[in-house]
Amino acid sequence: MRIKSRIFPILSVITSALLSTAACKKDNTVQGPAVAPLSFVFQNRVNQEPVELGVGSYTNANGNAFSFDMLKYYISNIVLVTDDGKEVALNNHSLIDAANLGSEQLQFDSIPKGHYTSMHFQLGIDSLHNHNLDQAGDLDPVNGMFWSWNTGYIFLKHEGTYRNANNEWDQLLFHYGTDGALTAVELALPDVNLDDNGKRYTSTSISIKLVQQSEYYGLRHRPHSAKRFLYRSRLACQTNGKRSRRIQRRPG
Amino acid sequence: MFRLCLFCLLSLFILQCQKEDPPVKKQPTPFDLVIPKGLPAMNIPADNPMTVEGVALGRRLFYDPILSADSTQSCSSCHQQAHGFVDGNLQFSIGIDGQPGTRNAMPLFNLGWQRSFFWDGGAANMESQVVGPITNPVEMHEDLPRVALKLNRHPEYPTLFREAFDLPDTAAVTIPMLMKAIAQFERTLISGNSRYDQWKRGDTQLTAQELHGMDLFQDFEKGDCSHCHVLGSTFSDFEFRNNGLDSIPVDEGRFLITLLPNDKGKFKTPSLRNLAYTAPYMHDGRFATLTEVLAFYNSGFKDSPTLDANLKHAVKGRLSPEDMADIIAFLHTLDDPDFLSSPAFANPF
Ligand code: HEC
Ligand code: HEC
Repeated sequence: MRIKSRIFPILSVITSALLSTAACKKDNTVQGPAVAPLSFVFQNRVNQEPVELGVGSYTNANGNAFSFDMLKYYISNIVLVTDDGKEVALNNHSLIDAANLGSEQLQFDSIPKGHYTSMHFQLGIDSLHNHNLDQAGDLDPVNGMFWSWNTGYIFLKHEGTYRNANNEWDQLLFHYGTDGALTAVELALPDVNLDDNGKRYTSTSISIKLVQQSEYYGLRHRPHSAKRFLYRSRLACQTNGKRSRRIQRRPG
Repeated sequence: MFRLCLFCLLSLFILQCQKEDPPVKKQPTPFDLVIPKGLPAMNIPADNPMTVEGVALGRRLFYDPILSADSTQSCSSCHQQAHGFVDGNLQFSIGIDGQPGTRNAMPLFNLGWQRSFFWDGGAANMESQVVGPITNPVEMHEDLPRVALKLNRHPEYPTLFREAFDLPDTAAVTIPMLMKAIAQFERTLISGNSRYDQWKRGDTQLTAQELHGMDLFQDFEKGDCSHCHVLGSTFSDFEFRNNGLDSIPVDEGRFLITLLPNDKGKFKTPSLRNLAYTAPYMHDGRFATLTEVLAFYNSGFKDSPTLDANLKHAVKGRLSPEDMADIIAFLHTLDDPDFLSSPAFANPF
């Protein structure tokens, strides 16, 4: 499946929807809670390798070597869609921070039961929230995910090092954002059935591969050029393979 | 999620409170913002209503060097009341590391009517603007987590924040609250008692020279200033314009924000109030006097693809030396000494 968007380079984001279950009863009318817990785990990959901060280096499609000291990004407005088109909104804006393991798992305790066939979310901050920095929670500027010289949130921040044209390690600061960069991601969920009738508890693992394009590591960050650069980077991204498998049903 | 949890915590807290029967908490007092006759109504964002406590807190923070990395600089270091809230009339302000910036500090008054902040309008609103100078390496160069830490450890600030924002006794000071408090103070910085304002209210007379200067200011064939510096109350259209400072701009201004080629060399039209106190002039402070400014508008402006249409058609040398002196005389009717001496804006320490 292709994702419609205009975004950025190099990283593979794998979303896995893991369903853990509460009690399951046969009667679908009254018994059993009307909600089930659900969690998403965001795993950051470069090609097949998991992203590790401060260690190792990775190579992009152009043969440039680079590393990670920081990787943070916003996942916003996650919505689950049922087979009959009903939408269930899960979050507003969540900051995923590779340095903070807890933040890579988004846990939702009470998802209404239903047969969910797709989901959508955004990488970044929607324009309704992107132009006020005095917001609390994950949008609090204390998280360092904002530009002050051009009001707005940094959607994705990757800092580390890269090997420059002279073959020396140099500082890498990649700050990605602005309204035009908001990336809508839509994913089919082959088999997420949160239904005490269905008795099926499945996990869906979908990897989204964001393919890096040329200029990414040729540039040193300066506040003003960074934004210009962002506009130049183009997205080629695709999901690579949807896998869905059953996981064991827990005793009811 | 987070919000839900927070809500749970809050309700827990409230329940506990009820059990323990605490003393009635003082509500923040709404701030009565007095807008002088002749100035338009001000839009206050619904999520940051002004309160007496909030404004007082914002004023204190504005003057407190605690917001800078080495506690040597406050907002007031570069925005001094005695200078119409610009710095000591430097061309470029100096930050805590002794490094100059690249732009002339802007005067702070009548900010509540502006639609965006900074010369290029990069800051979209007053609250968001506040974190700019605190984190800018050539200004106060401080990290926000450290600012939050310092404020939370301070003997007085946590209480002041809780009073200003009606928070429970356990609530921590956060950066959004700091932004809101300073913005509240900034909205009170209203300058509207110049001789021009008094004349409009019928309380005083202007001289024949000043009135002639006002005519020239509006005359499309002469000054033609009011096309951009709209005559009336704010003296700005708040648009971004190229007034012809350079044919090839060194600082690309609005273009740095929008990346539209048509915005190269455009800057926010500034107000013309309080010019007597805010020299030097223009975004880079290139003119030391109003005489230089008038000479520039008379014949010094340079053509470029983005030069404003009003100036493209202006004839060079259209103003006589007397005309220019009269326009300057009119401009000085916009000086507001009361604003500079108002105790409400002074250093509270
Ligand atoms: C080192 C000097 C310096 C310090 C300290 C400083 N400022 Fe400024 N201020 C400037 C300069 C220079 C500009 C113009 C910046 C630009 O256009 O890029 C400015 C612009 C502004 C503006 C925009 C005004 C307008 O009309 O658009 C506001 C508001 C402001 N400052 C408030 C503050 C506050 C609040 C603080 C403290 C948190 C502060 N400043 C600290 C130098 C400073
Ligand atoms: C085309 C719109 C336009 C016209 C016409 C115009 N100005 Fe300006 N003016 C501006 C802009 C934009 C700036 C800021 C330019 C910059 O700093 O790059 C400015 C800056 C100024 C400043 C400096 C203010 C400060 O705080 O630094 C003064 C003084 C001034 N103008 C006076 C005048 C006078 C007097 C006239 C008429 C003779 C006039 N202007 C005509 C747009 C205009």
